[in-house]
Amino acid sequence: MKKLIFVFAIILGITTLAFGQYEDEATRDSLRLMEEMGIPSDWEPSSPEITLPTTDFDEGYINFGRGGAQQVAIDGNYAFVANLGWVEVVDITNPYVPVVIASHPSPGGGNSYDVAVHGNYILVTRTTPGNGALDVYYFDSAVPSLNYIGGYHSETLDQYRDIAVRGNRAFIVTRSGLEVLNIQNIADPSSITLEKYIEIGFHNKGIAVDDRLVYVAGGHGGGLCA
Amino acid sequence: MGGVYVLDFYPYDAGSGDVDVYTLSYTPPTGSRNAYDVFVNGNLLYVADYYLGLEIFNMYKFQDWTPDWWSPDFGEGPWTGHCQVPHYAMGVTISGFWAYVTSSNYPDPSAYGHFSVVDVQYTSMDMTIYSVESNIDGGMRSDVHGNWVAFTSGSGNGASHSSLRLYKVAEINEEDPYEEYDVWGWLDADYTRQCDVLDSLWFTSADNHAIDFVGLIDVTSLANLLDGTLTFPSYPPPGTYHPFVMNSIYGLDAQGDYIYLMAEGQPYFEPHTGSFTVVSIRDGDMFAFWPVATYIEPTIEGEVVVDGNVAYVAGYLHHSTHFAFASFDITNPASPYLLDIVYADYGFGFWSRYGEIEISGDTAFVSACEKASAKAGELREAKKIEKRVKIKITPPKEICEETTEEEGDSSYTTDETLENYSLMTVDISDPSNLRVAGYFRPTSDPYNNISIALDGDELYALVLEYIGDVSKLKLESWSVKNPLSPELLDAITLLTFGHCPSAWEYPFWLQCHGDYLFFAFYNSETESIEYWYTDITDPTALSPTMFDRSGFVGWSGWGLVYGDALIDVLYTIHFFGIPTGGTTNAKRVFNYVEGLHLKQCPKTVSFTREPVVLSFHSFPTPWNSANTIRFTLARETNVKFNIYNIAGERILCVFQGMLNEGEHTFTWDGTGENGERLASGCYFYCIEAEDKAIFSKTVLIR
Repeated sequence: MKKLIFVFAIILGITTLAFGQYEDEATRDSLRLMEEMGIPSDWEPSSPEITLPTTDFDEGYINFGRGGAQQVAIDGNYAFVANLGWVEVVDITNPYVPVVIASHPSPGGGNSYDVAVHGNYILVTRTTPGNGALDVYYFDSAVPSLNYIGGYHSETLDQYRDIAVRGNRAFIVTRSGLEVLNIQNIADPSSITLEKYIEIGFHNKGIAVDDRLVYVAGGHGGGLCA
Repeated sequence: MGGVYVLDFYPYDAGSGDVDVYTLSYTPPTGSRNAYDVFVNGNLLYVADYYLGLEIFNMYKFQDWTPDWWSPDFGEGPWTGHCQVPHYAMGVTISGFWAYVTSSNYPDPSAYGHFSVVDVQYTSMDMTIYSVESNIDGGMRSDVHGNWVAFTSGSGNGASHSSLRLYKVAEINEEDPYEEYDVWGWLDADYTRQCDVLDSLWFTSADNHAIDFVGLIDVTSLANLLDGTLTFPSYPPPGTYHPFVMNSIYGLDAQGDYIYLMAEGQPYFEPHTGSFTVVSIRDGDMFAFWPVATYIEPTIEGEVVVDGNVAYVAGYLHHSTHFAFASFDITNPASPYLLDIVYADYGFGFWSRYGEIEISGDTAFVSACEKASAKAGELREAKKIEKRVKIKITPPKEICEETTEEEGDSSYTTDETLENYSLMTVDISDPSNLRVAGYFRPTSDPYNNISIALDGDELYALVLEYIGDVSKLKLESWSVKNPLSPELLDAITLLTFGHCPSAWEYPFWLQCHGDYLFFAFYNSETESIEYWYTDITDPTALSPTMFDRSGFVGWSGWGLVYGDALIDVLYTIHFFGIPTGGTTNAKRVFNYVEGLHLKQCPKTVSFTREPVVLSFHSFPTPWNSANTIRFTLARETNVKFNIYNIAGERILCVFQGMLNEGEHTFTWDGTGENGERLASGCYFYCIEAEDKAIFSKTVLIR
């Protein structure tokens, strides 16, 4: 709703310029609305183009006071944070004032490690002693609410790290490999299957994908190659 | 081992069941590596290495890796960038030419985390941090949100340090580089081929006594056109533009901080070196204007179109009779590389050797004149070209004899009746694997000349044909909603004359702008260049109208509708006003001839149609029992009429549907959606029609 209000306020501020008789009042109204919402008067909608990096950062900040924030994925005006034993959804419509609007404890304990957004579904990797799990949540921004709808437990009994999604596949970095999961029917997490497991490295971490390749940060390695 | 694993899923997706695994085991000068996070952008791989910092690798030609691991030493091979960041790098994200690196210093409670910004436009092994910020929580991973970057911290510092931080990393430059100038005139050049406008800079390639240069003109200098003092001087030029000298510039496009050229060489430096060339204009310093990259082969004599991270080129393959379409990866403009190239198995006509490209989604539409008299020998030559895509193109009424094909001296084998087309479509869904999807617009004219413009799902073509001793200039509209089977919507013959077209008779250009299509061509009967426009709101019913005719002054290769102005690039550059009121009355057109208004980027301007809501008011105000709202519509249209409270919440939908032209009156009694009696306060009436929302405020007093 805050987003809607803000958008309305901006529209109000702009469109009323065309109606001189209301210009001053309407502008004041919209500025007052922004003030009430804690939005600086010079706040501007974000732009996809970053043209002039600054050395003096303005800042928004939120302390969760629990867990240990690991990874973040942004989709629209929401930031999804894997926070060890929790998943947090943060409204960053106003980046100066991020607000937690939904959260969920990790089912069955363990440490949620990374998060990926797949439409309205939030995929969270979780590591438990001797196992890895993929938790699937449904995020409804209208409410807003975050509901756990099921998950997948690793057949390889490997610990899960980072996750990336491409098409109907989830690529999950494990401590000593890469799991490729078929998530074609993500609405039914019980249908998730292991499509491929590739053993690579040890202490793997980050992942990036493009149209064809998957890159995995392979963690520790000596200075010399084998 | 360790480092970065690169897993190629192409063979797996192709059905082999195998994933090829490569290992990038970069060797640091001292200590050990620990790849913590990776980010890929085009051909560049960014690694946050826990011990080393930000490392950048150029993955170009990774397929050529043998054996299955790659171990470059510091700064060697693909290892093209290194930047030391504070303490231990844990995350990296790239946006534009900037890298955002998070790092942690967990044992130090005074500065657990760092957030570093690194300029990665130019890579080297001693890159420095642009800016850095410390925080008390730590730094893990980040993601970009517009001009903000969000990152987490929680790397073992305890729950009190589990946070999400957002840094505003950029100020959007909102300075409007344009001022309005009421000027018109022309700018002399010997032979100007192609132009583009980017922000406040205007680029043109021009031929000056056998060598080409890129003219770089600050738009603000156009004021000098008033007194004619701004001209292209002979080389070397002073001041107003920088002489980036090339030998035959064929195409030009601009994007971001770069302009992209397809040219034959750089004779000023080293003769005949370079074809696809990237020139930096960063910081707008036209005097620091210098090539940052040159890709030597292939040289294609044609247009350049930049689309995101890929540049496409179409035209004649240099010193051949064959037409080519190629893609270049420009993710890193300083290191472009050829992704793919496809060739037509036939030659195109000389007069259309510079192919035109229009891009829509995953499809590129390419125009060129087909040379219908292509001979078997030419076809054989084309067969020798690597990565050629075989295309069934055969001249009409001619049967090629079946011959034997051998590698290196192959021949063309067909017994089919040959067909001619003047437009081809290329599937560019995978720019590294271009596929000629097909051809359309069949013609039997060997001299067919064509120019194209795309507007949404419609492709407009200005065509000159010579069939049966009669030349016809046509304007056509095609639906390309299905790019593989375009449908002809309308065709209007503009000119008919009874001779073969000369070299000067040419459909110069088309340009879509708002609801209109502008185009220009040479009329040999009147020996003049004619400027036309047509309303394209209904592409099945074109209604072209000429609005200006100029005496012959030369070849026109490029036109641009810019704000309220039309810029035509001939031997000289002319400026005309164009209609802004949505009228088709030619007389009205000339009312605007006096103005050149350089104010907005051409891609964002649109015509101002007559407002649909002509008047909108309510009375009385303030009020208690009932309020009357009255507005007048200029035409029949779909209208939404809602009422909002001061919080921006809609409290009532008064009306939604079609309303006729004329005055409309509604009454509101101060009740909400469920009939509830609303409190005193300010309320807003909002009328939405034709993508515009108009507000009016009222005050209810109980």
